[in-house]
Amino acid sequence: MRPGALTLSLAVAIALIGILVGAMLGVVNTGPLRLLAALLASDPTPDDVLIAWRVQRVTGAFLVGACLAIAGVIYQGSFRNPLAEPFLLGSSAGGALGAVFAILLPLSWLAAVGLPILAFVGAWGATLLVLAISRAARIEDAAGMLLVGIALAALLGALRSTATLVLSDESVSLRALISWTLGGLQSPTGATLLVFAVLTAVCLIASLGLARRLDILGFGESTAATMGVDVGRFLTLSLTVAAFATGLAVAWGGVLAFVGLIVPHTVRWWIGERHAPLLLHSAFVGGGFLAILDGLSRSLLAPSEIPLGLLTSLIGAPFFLLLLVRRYR
Amino acid sequence: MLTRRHLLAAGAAFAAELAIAGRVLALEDAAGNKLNLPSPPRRIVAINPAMVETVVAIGALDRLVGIGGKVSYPEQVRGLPSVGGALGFSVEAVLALDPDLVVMAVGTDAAAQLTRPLSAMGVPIFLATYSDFASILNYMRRLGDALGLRDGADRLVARMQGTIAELASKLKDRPRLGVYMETGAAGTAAFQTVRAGHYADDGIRLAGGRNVFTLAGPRQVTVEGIADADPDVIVVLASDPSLKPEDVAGRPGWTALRAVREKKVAVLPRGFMLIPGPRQAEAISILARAIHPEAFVP
Amino acid sequence: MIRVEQLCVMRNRKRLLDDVSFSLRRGEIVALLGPNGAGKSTLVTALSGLCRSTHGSVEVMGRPIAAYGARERAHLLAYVAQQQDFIWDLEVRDIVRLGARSLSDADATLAKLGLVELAERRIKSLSGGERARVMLARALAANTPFLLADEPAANLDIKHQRRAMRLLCDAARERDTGVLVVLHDLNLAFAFAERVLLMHQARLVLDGAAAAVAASPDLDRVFGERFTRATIDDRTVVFPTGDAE
Repeated sequence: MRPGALTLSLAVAIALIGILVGAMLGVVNTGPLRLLAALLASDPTPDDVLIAWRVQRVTGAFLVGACLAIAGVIYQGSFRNPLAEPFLLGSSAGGALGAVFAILLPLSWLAAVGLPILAFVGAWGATLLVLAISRAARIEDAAGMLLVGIALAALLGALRSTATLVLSDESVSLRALISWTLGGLQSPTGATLLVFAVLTAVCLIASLGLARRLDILGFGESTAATMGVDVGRFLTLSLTVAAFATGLAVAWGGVLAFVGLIVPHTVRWWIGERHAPLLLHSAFVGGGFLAILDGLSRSLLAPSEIPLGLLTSLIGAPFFLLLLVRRYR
Repeated sequence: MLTRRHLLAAGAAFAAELAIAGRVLALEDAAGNKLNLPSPPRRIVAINPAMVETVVAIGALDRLVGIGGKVSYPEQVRGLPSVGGALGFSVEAVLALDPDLVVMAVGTDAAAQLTRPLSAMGVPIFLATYSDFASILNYMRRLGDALGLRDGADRLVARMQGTIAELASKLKDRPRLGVYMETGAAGTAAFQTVRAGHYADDGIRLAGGRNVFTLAGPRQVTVEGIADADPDVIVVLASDPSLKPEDVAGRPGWTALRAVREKKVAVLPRGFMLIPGPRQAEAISILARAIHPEAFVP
Repeated sequence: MIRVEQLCVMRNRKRLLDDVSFSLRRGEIVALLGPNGAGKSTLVTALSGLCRSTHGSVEVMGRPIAAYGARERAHLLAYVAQQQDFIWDLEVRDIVRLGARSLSDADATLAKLGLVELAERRIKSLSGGERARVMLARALAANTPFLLADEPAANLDIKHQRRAMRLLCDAARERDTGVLVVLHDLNLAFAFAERVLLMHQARLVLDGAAAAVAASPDLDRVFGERFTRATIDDRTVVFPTGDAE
């Protein structure tokens, strides 16, 4: 299908339906009218408060999904590898390391914002470190940079395990920590949600500014260079935007594997590989996808919550294997 | 992270098998051979905080020659040599202390890492198995047997049972209140709670409460799940000493909980409440004060 | 004008270009010939600013190539690589637009290269020859003063080879573009290029009018072939007829 007004409206519809379905699912499933009534209630009952919480959380999930999809597309475009994932750059590993510190060190002065901030700093720091190392070693090709990312991810993973072992004692729930690294959606409210939404929109707009050059990069680095793309500088820019998106996603959603892979790929099949529409559609579809998954994580085994990352991996890993089979057969 | 958990689980399963093999495990090694403890052990290494506390509480402080790295209570054990902890336990450090008994709890990192190598070396091991509150008292008595200090163990158990009985009399006219106990959280996500069979679940019952999440219930819950269970009281076990009930009440959506609106939220220190040792009875009375504060007004 | 003076490129102690000097004016079409490994592709990449020179200089419109930013360079030079990656399965029209400065340039180029009926096809569904035409279209659509093409005819059938060469000639004549084209087919070069450069072992051996190069005994020496020459319609044609002595 050619991307256009029709496909974009479909993508937006998927996003809205995703948020709606995600918000309807829960310990007690709620009809759409009841949702609206709860959100508009002037004097909210406890039930209304719960439903409003659910809507906020699902909106958070939507934004996390959108950020992961955007980051996925940019990483895939920058590394010219459709199988690239926010993980490969050590971005997620860095975010998780920051989060582990936030959870293990009782940082009362950071309190509620400590986890998002440290997760974000970790994700961004890791990607910038990959760039700095690549620069210092004069690695300019995508594959070499990817290797640096994988090595750094391993290092950060080891640091995270070490930090977990050293800092934890009876006073810390490792179960909560493990669960968070499997994808723990924080529940942003009010102003925080607004900030998150604005930052996600900034990511999307910035990524659209990269789209044309990501297209050109697909002709190979030397052709791209003769078509006016300063490849080194562009990669710095694009990876910074992608790290920003990953940082946002990790800060509010923990480590969610495969969303950055599944969503862009499905959208590729649907509307083709040109980056501007790909980014736009992926953001909406990714958000809708994660919103529904969040609903499922809260309702499948209610009142238990299934860590969201388990669901994304259960769906994402077979999908990834399918991609590999299709690609290499 | 997962591999480490698997290892732990495997270790726990292996150790549990050992525990079942004989009533007084200390007298058997991993291969099931009878160990001859000619005299009560004189050089004891106790590793987990609960084990160290129990060894001290039943009167064997003078025989303790080594402890796990994370143990800081009671005061008197602080200078003792550590056999590792945070990054794993050292078989060599244990052997260097020349122990004639190593005391560990089943299902812990220490048991997973040390049981096999130490039994291969012929070092006698006491593995405490516990789940609920009664089984804590039970391992204390068995440890008393192994140390030749059954009297000390009986006195400890009696003291703990006394505290619980005293509580029971204070609480006998009180209604049994529904309690949500949170054992862990990461930010405003991944709220963990306890299930039936865990000593903390017994603790809730002995403190005059009723765990709103039961046997088949969840370990990780959402605020919706908690609202659905509608607890009368919320008890948050936190590692952050500065966390206040208002912080808990301020979590997104938590004003939907009746207990939050009625200001029935307590924050207790996780590290103290979840050590299955001699201080567990005290922990339960603190829990009781949180659940039924009016019962303790003088 | 592109002016190359005493250009040397060394990589891993190997001399890839050795003291190469020549110039390329706007509006002329120059073919670059030479056996495999002579340094043709290195010369083209050096001209496009993709590879740093060890010694000597490449000046484009009076300024060293390295002094231009990537974007400025793209406005001066278009480049068609020998090996072309297509990581993304884009539509032909989108690819040509990526190279063009305006949508009308893109559409005009599509029409001129007879690609209109392929405009909405995805690049990976095209044959090698069709892909080569798309890349040529992408480069022509940029409307640059200079065009460097590394074997643009390699994957094309005879009809499209001649058509591609004619397009390059048209560009040189109509748009005043300076075209440097690497070719393997000597007769294609002699038929379409006004000037021919002959390279051998990293050096520029000959730089002259097509007829002069075709007639030169250096051609036989460089390729290690004995050529028989014929003149058809005022153009020199060469046939390999055995090993050179």
